[in-house]
Amino acid sequence: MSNEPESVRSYQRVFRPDRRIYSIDGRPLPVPGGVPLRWLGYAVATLIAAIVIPAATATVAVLGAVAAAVVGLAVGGRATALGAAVVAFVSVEIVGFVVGMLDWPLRLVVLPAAIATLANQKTPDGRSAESFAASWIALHLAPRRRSVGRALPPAGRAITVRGETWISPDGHSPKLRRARVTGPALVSFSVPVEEIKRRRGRRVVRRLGWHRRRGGVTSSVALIPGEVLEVRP
Amino acid sequence: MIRFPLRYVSGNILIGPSGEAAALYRIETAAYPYLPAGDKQAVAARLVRFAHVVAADFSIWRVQRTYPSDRYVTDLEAAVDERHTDPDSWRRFLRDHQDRLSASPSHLPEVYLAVTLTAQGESVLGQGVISSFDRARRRLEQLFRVDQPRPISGKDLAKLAETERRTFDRLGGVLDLRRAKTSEIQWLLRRGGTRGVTEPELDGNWQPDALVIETPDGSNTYEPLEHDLIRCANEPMTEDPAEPASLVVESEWGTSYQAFTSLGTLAAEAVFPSEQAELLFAPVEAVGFPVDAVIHVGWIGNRDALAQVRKRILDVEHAYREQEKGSIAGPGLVASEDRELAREYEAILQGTSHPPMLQASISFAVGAPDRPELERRVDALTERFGDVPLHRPRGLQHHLFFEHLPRVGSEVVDYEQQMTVEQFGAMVVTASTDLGSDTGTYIGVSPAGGGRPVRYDPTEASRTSRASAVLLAGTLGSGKTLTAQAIAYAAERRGSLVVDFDPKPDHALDQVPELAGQVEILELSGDEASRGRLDPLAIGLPELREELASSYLLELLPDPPPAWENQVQRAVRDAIRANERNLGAVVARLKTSDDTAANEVGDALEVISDFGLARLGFAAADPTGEEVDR
Repeated sequence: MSNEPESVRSYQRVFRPDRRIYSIDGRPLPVPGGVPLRWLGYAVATLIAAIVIPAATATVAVLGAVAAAVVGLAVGGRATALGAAVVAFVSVEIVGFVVGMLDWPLRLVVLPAAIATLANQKTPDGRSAESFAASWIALHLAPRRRSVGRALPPAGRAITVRGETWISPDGHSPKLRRARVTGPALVSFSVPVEEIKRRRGRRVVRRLGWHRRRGGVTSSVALIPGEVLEVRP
Repeated sequence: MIRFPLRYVSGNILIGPSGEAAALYRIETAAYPYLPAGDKQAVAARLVRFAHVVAADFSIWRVQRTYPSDRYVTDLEAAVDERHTDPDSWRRFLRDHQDRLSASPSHLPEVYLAVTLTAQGESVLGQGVISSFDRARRRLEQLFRVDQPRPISGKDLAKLAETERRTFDRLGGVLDLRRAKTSEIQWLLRRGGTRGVTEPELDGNWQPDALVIETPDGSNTYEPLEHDLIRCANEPMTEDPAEPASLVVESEWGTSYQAFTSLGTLAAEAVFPSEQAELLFAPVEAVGFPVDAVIHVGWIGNRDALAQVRKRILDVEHAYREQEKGSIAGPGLVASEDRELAREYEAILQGTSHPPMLQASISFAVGAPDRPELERRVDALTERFGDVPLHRPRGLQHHLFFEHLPRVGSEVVDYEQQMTVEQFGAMVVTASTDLGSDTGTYIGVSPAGGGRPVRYDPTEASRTSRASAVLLAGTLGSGKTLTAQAIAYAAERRGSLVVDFDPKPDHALDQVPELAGQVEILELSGDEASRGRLDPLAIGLPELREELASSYLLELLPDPPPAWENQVQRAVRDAIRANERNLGAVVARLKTSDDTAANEVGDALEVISDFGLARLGFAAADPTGEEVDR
């Protein structure tokens, strides 16, 4: 190893290309440095929104509400989903109304250009504008206090859990339950049962009752390996 | 949507919610700051080599553990030599140290590595498409919360264990690592909630559990009881949009304020070794408070990396031509540089070592007991990174919290960036400012790393077959003498016999109250008062006295004839048999002997024994009891 300091180069810039359009059909654009593709993307998206929202406000509002509900469900829960859907619906309605009020040059040229320029220049928290916006929305939609992503009530508020506790029965249950046991085994019953032998070594046990008996009465059944006993109460 | 990053842990194998798996290892740290540049480059080169051979995605956590001062007394109390000291005074001495260590806010870095495991099996046509579809379906089910946990088959676990064994063998030759223990996994999970406040309490019997179910074909499957893992990191957390991006974590041991930051674009060129390049070591050690760091790395093999770079070359060439043709000002400087950079990186990837390319995201976690302290710490950390931006993303704090838990891969993609293996190596994630021995007594603190305790074990060198000499170097007043005194005092408390050479003299060990009456000062002078103070028969160990006295006497005589040697050895032997504890008696024996040679050598030694510093070695022939005891 040499004792001289080494230079460590970074090639990250190569992997973050700033794609721009400098000319269209051989004609240079009158913009020094070209038009960033990202800017164009933002502008087109805003333009489409500015055309579609005022034209079909109700439809877009419903679609927006559905999308917001899905996001709300992902980040919070059902209550968040509902809240997000309502907010999205109302917001789209208001935006549709406001945008619809604007004159077409303002709506179709100035607004997309302004939003695209803003989104292209701003990199809050070192992220793209849309990524930051998504996090910002998720932060405001999600419940403040959470545990592993699940909503919790504010600190200090008592919660009551209502529900039924289901207990899975096991062999100590006083009730004869359906079961299938494969041998080798010795199966004991707390009450006498009727044992019926079927074909191919299958054996069936059922409770004693008023029905006609087809087998003997027993309180335990011994099974050889592979033999199957079915309990049919 | 936030998911708990782990579903099951079997040994050191971590299994994620979608069945992805990784093996967790603990990497030994290496003392770094005081190494020469060549050795620093060797540390980085090992990491570069690791990045070559790992051939899988990996994550490395560099976390800080509070200095384990509670074990200090227990670890050292058995080192006492009860024949020469009082065990209680040794214990009191250690307890004082432990109190001091407990009061210090120092931390030790620990480095953990998770390497993604891909079970080796026969590839089936279309298997990749099916598994991708399966993953997408499961994500959709999770989104709508209708997913059902899938059992993990015993066969899959066995395959993973086999893959883990191969991975461990492969990496063991490159890095000094061992498999992570279950207790360490528990600690990594639990410490997230108490970051910056205290160390979490651990359950000694903790082990992730699973229901073992026998399937109809006789094999076993495992249904993990995920709460074992989740309960280790399920503290209520709040990210308040009105405050700077951070989390308030309400743990059982106190409320912790935590902020998570992500590393932005790296410097275009950094000098190594320097703080600018050592991003996973230098800034986090320099701030003086505990900072956790994690790097999640996607490993891209050389062939895929080349393919990606060639696409980028097309991009940059296209941009250059577009600018050339379309821009009024012609191609810009950046476009030209991009072309060169892309070509340069292509050449590197085509080099003989065929390096892989890394896609990495790095984030840091800072904790504090209150918000003002948290803000102070975040500012200090951001400042240490200088030109390299440290982003504190709002809305991602919860996600980044889980990025710092042991897991398989990463879910936060916003800060992923391309990285070369050299950049990764230069970050020296395994470097540490640790100094001194692992055991031994506490002698001070290191200047770097927030004043980390330094311990010194005088027996370590001989135990590990190294040279036992220690050089204390420093400017005037830097504490060399004090360090030597601390080492000597600790050795004395342990029961060792300490010989301190004090040429100035300024060690003043006789003025230490605890050593009152136990220090014998011996001035190296030919003064009559010092006569016999170093007499080999008086101070030598019983089993060595004979050899010591003979060799001492013979060394004083210039070229003694063989007859003199015999007489000297005989006289020493006789003196020891007669229980005489001074060389004066030996000289007297020689002089009164019937042998002429003995008389001659006796005369010669008598002259020497009364000459200058040699007086120190010759006690009088009839010493008082006091002199012998001394």
